Amino acid sequence: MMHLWLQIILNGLLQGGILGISALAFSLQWGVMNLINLAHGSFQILAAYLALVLLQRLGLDPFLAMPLVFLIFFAGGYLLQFGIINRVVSGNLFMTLLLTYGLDFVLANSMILLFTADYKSVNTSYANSSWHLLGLQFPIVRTLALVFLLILSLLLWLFLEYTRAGRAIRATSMSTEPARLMGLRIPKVYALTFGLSSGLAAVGGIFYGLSNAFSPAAGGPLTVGAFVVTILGGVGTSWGPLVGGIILGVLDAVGSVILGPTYVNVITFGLLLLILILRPNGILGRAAA
Amino acid sequence: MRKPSKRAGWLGVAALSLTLILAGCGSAATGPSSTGNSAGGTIKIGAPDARTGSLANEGKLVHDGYTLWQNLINKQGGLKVNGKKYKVEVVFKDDQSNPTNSASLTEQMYTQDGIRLFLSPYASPNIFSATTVAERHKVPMIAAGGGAKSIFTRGYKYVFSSYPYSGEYLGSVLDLLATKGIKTVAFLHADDLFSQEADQGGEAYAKSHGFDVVYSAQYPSNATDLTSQLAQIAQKKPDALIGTGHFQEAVLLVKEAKQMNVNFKAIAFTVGPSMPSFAKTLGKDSEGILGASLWTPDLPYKDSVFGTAANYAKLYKEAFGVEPDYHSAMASAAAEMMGLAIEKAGSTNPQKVRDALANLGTVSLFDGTFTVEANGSISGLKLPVIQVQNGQTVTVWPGDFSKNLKDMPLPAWNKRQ
Repeated sequence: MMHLWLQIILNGLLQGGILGISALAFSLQWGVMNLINLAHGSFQILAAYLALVLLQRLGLDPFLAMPLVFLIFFAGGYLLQFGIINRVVSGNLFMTLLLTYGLDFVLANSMILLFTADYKSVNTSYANSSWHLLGLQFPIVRTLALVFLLILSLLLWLFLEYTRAGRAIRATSMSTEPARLMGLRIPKVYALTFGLSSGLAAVGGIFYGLSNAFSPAAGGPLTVGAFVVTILGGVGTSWGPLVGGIILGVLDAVGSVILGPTYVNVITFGLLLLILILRPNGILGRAAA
Repeated sequence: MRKPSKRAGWLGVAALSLTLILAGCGSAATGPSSTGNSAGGTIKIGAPDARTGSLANEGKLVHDGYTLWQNLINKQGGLKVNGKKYKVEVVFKDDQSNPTNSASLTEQMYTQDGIRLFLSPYASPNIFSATTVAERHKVPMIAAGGGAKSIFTRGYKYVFSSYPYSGEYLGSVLDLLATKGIKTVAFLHADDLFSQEADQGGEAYAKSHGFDVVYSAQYPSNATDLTSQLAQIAQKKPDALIGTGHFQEAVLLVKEAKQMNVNFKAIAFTVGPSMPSFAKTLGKDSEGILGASLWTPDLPYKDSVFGTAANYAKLYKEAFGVEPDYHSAMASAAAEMMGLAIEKAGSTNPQKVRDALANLGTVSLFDGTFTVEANGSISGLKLPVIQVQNGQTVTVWPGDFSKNLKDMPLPAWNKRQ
C-alpha cells in the first residue's frame, strides 16, 4: 500500500513537470506584458507537429531537434509580437484577448489544413518506456520533463536576474513608463519576451507531443492548464510554474485516487479559487500590491 | 506613437487573408443557394457537418460517407420517386464542431434554403441540438454519429438513426472475452454522454454475464495523465481493461500502461483501435488491442446500392483513397435509409418521408440487418469486434471471425519486441 502511494505521489510530481513546462511561457507573457495568450496551447501543438515532421522526414530525434524548434519559435514569436501583438498590447486587456483568441483560431485551423485533423503522437523508441528505480516506475519522457523544467526555470531566473536583456524585461514588467524614460525600447523588449516565451512554449509542446496524442484542436485544454498553474505559482515568477505545476500535479494525482478521477477538475479549480481568495498573487507572487 | 513597420503591415495582410481563406473553406461546401427540395430534378438533403473544430476528424468520415452515397445514387441515375428519377444533393454546412451551430445551421437550411430532409452532424451533443430544430419544424433527420439514448427518449417523432444505442457497444467485446476465460475486468471511462452510456451498458452487461468488475472510474474528457488510475488498477490485477473514451485517451492509456508496466490479458476500447491512426500513433504497442466496432468490410451483409460490405470498402477507397472506418459506413447507411424512405414514400414531402421511415420495419443493408423502433432508434444490429494485427484492423467477432484472434492473452509489455 505504501508503495502504491509513493508511486502515485511520484506520478503527480512528474505530471507537475509536464504542467509546469507548459506554463513557463504563459507565465512569462502574462507577467511581463500583461498578455493572456489564448493561443498558447496552439503554439505548443504546432511545436509538437514540427518535432513530428522533423522526426519523420529527417529522422531527427525530438530532443536533438529541440534547439532548432526553440530557435524557429523564438524567431516566429519575435516577429509576431513585433508586427501584430505590439499594436494592441498596451491597450485594453480585452483587445489582447480578442487578438490571441483570433490567432488561436487561425493556428488551429491552419494546422487542420496542413496536418489534417487526425491524431498524431511523436513516437520514439523511448517515448513509452520507463526507468525502474527503488521499485518505482519513472516514465522517461515525464521524468525528463521535470528535469528540463528545473533547468529551464534556473536558466530563466539567471537570465532575468543577471543579464542586461533580462533586467530590461524585469524593469518593463514593473512599469513601462519609467522603463521607457530610462531609454528602453518597449516594443523590442516585448518582442524579445514573446520570442523567448514562444521558444519555451515550443519545448513544452515537444514534451506534450511525446507523452500524449494530439490533434490541431488540442490546444485549448493546454491553455487552460497553463492558466491554472500560472495563477497557482504566481504570475511572472521564474519558479512559479515549477511550484504551481508540482502542487497541482500531486494534488490531482492523490485526489483522483482518494475521490476518484471524476473530481480532478473540481480539485484543480477549487484550488484555483482558494489561491485567488487567500493569495491572489500566487504562492510565489509578491503579497498584495 | 509607434511607427507601423512595413513588415507588420504584411503580416497583418497575411493573417487577414489566411482568415478569409479559412472562412471561405467553411462556406464553399454549401454551393449555390438552393430553391427547394426537388427543384430542377434534384432532391436536396441538408447536413450540418464538422468540417473544422475538435470533431473535424470524425466529421470528415461522416461527410465522406454521405458523399459516397450521393455520388453512387446519382451514378445509378438517381432516386426513383413515382416512376421518375431524381438526382440527390447533400448540402453541407460547417458547424465547426459546435452543437449550437449545428442547430442554427439546421434552422438556416430550413428557412433560407428551403431544405426539408436532413442527415445529422457528427457526435451526440450536436445531434441532440440539431434534432431539436428538425422536430420543431416537423422535418425528418436521420442521425449518423451518435448513439446516446437521450436523443431518443424525448418523445420526438421526426428523428431516426443508423446507430445502435451507445450502451450496446461493448456487448460483443464482452462476449468475446468470455470465450477466452476472462473473469475480472477494470472499466475506465470519460465523462461525456456517449462514453458514460457505453460504459454503463458495458458494466451492466458484464455483471449480468458473470464477469467480476473489480474497478470502475470516470475521468474528465481530455485527461492528460491516467498513471495513478493505472497504478490503482494494477493492485487489483484484473484480466482485462476496457476503456470507453476518446481516441487520445485510448492512446494515453496504452502509452501509460506500458510506462507503468501494467499488464492485462486483454485491452479493449470503444473508440480508437478501429481508426487507422491508432496503430500508426502507437506502433507495435497497439498490437493485439481489441476495439468495439459498428461495421467492418468483412461482414457478410449486402444491399442493392453498395453491394456487399467489401464492395462498399472498395468504392470508398476508390473515391477517397483510404479504407472506410465505421463512422463512414454508418453515415452511408443513414443516407441510404433516407433514400429508401423517399422511394417508399414516393415523395419528398417531409411528413410522408417521416412516415415511411417510421414504417421501414426490419431492413437489411450493407451494414447489417436492423429494425427501426417506434422512438426512431434501431435494434438488432450485430456488432463486430476488431483487433490490431500487424498495424491493420482484423475482424475477430462475431462467430467464425474469432479464429482470426491472436495474442490472447496479450504478451507482457517487457516481453514484446
